[in-house]
Amino acid sequence: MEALVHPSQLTTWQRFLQARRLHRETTRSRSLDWYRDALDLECQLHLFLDGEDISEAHICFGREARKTWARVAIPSLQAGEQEVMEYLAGIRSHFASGMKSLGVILHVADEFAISELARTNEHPEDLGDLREKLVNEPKTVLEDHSDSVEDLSFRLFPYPGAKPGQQFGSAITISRRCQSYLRQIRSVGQALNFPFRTCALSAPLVTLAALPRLAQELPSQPFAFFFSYSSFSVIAFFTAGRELVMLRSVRHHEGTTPSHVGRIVQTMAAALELPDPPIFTLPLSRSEQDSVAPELPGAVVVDWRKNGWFDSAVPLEFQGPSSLAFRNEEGAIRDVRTFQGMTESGWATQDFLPESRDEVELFPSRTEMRILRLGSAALRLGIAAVLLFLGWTGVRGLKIINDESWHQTGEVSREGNKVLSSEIRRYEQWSSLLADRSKAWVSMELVNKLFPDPESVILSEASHRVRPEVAQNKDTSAGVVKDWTISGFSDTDALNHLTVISTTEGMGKVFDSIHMQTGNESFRTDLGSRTLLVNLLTSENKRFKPLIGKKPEERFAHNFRLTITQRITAEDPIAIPITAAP
Amino acid sequence: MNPHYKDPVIVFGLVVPVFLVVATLGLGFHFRGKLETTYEARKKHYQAFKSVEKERRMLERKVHSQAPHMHRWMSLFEQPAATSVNTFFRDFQKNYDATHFQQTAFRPTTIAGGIGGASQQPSIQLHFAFRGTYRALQTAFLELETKMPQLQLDSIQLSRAANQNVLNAAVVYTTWQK
Repeated sequence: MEALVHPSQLTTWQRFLQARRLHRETTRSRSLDWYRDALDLECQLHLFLDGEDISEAHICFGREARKTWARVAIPSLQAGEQEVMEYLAGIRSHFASGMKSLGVILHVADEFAISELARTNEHPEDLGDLREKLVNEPKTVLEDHSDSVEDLSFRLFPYPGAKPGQQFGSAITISRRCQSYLRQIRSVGQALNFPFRTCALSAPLVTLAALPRLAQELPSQPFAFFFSYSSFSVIAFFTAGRELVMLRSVRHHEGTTPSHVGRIVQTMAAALELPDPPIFTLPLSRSEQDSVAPELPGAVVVDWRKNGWFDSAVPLEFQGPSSLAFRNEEGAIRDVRTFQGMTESGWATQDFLPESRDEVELFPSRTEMRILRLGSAALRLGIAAVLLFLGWTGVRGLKIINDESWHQTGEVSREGNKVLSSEIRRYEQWSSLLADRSKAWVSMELVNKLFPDPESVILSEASHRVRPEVAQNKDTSAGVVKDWTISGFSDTDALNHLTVISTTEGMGKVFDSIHMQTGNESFRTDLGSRTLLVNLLTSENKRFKPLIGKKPEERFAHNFRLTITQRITAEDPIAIPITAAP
Repeated sequence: MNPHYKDPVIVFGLVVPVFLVVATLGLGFHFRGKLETTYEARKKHYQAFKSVEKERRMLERKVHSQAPHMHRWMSLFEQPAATSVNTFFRDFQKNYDATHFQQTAFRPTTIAGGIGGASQQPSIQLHFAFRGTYRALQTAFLELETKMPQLQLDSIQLSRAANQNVLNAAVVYTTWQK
C-alpha cells in the first residue's frame, strides 16, 4: 500500500480517495479491533519493562476475566522494524488463524514519578475534565511548570480516601522514550494489514488494580502498601475503608531500596493522620529482587502467588487489568470507591503513550469507515437495483416496441365510417319510406277474406283510406290511421259470419291470416304500437223480395255497414318517417 | 469522527452515491413512466383504430348487402312515376278485354298530400280511375305495387258499376320522389 499522506495536506476529494483506499485495501472497515483499546482485545501481548529493556513477555487470550497465559520470547526495545515484524509474525503464528488482532501492552516499571497538581487541596467537581486537561494541556493543571510536556506523559490518579484539605490526587508521570517503539509496532500492523493495538501502562498502578483480588488479606484498619521495582519503590496509604489516601514513590540509589524507607513510611503516615499503620509488602515480580521486607519491621508479606485467582508464573502486573473485572463479585470491596474508580473510570489502566494526534488523524475514524462501508454497500445495492431496473425496463421496452400498437401512429379517421353510416341511414330511410304501409291489392284481399262466400253477399261500396297522424311536433315519425268502410247486402249466413268477425279478436284473426298469406307487415296484430277497432251496423233490407226479387239488392234480407279502423302509432316500424332521406 | 475525513466521507462516500443511485433510479422511473404513458396512449390509439376498422368492415358489409336494394330503389326514380305507371297500365290492358279492365281516368298532382303530406320527403299524388272485374283490378294493383314500391296507397274506393259484373275503382297513390 502506498504511503499515507496526512489529510490536512490533501484536497477534499483526495481525502475521500485516501479514505476509500483504506476502506478497500485494509481490514479497517471490516474489523472493529482497529478501533478498540488494546486491553479490550481477545489476544494480548504483555511486555514488562524494568530497567533498560523488556524483561518479561507473556501472551494471554480468552474472553473471560481470567485469561490463559503463555510465556513467549522477549523482544528488545532496540529492535528495528524488520525484527519487530518478524517477532510479531512469530506471535501470530502461535495462534494460527485464530488471532484476529493483538493488543500489545507495555507495563512500564522502570520509572514512576508523581507530579503535584495545582490547587491540589481543592477537590474539583469534574475529575473527567481535569483528566482531559492533564492529557492535552498538562501545563495548565500542573503545579510545577518546568516539567517538559514534550518528553513526559501525565495521567491523573485520584485519592478517594483523601480528607478535605488533603491532596485529592496526583499526576503520575512517565517519560515518552517508549513511544517510538509502540509506534513501530502499530506501523508494522499497518504494513501487515493486521490490527496491532498498543497501550503503555504504569506497572505500579496495575499492581494496585490487582489488590481487590487480595482483599481477604488486607486489614480493616488504615494500612500502608509497599512494593518495589528495580529503580524505585511505591508506598500506597489506605484508610480503614480501604480507600487510597496517597501514593508516594521512593527512588532507589545504588540499585537497592533506601535504608530509611521505614522512617519515610512512618513520617508520611503521621502527616496523613494514620497512626502506626501496618505495612503490607508485595513481592516483586521477579523474586531475586524481593529484598525489601527486612527493611520494614513488622511488615506483612502478601504472597499473591498463593491466591488461586492469579497465575503464579505470570507477573502480577500482567494480571492487574483483568483482575479489575470483579464488578459485584467481591462484597468486601464492592463499595470501595478506589477500586470502583479503577474499574469504571480506568484510573489504573490509563494509556500513557497513546497514538499521537497526527497518527490518529491519518486514518478515518471507525464511524467514517462505517459510513464508507455503508456507502459502498448502498452503492452496490443501488447499482444492482439500477441494473435490475434497466433489465426490467429493457425487457418491457422490447415487449412494447414489438407490440403492434407501438407502431400505430397514424391518425384514426372516422370520416369513412361516417360516410358508410350515412349510406346505411339513407338505406334505412328509404327502406322505411318504401315499407309495405298500404297496398291496394292487400286491401282487396281483406274484402275477400271478410266475405268468403261471394254468393251470400252483394257489396254496394268498399272504401279504404290511409291518413297520417302526427302526435307531437318533435316526433321523427308520424303514425298511420287506416280505415276500411264496406257496405252492402247479405243473407243471414253472411251476416252471422260478419257478426262473428266484427270484434277486435275476430278481426285480428282475419288480419293475421292476411299477414300470413300475403306477407304484408301492416296486417300484423302482435305489435303493441297497433290497435284495431271494428264496428258493424246491420239492418233489415226493406227492398228484400224473397221470391220475386230480380235485382241483387232485392235478393238479400239484410243491409250492413262494416267499419274497420287500424291505428298505428309513431313508434311502429311502418310509421311514416318525417325527415327526408339524405 | 476525524474532522479531516468527516465531510469528504459523508459527502463522497454516502451522500453522492445515494444521490446518484436515487437520481438514476428517479430518472429511470421518470422515463419508464413516460414510456408507459406513451405506450398506453398508443395502445388506446391502436384500439380506437382497430375499433374503427372493425366498425368500418361491419358497415362496409352492411352497405354491400344493402347496395343491390339501393340500386334497385334508385332505378325506380330514373323516370317520372306517372310515366312509369301509365306505361304499366298500358301494357297491363293489353292482356285484358276492355270489359274486364280499363283505365278510365288519370290525374297527377304536383303537391304532396295523404301519406306524403306528413313527411319532408318530396312526393306527389297520382289519381286513377278504373273499371274492371274484381280479379283484374286486384291483379293490376298487385303487379303495379310490387313493381313500384314507392307507391303508397292513400285511398281506394270500389263501387258497383252499371254493368253488374264490373266495379268502378277510384285510387289515389302517393309516390315518393327522389
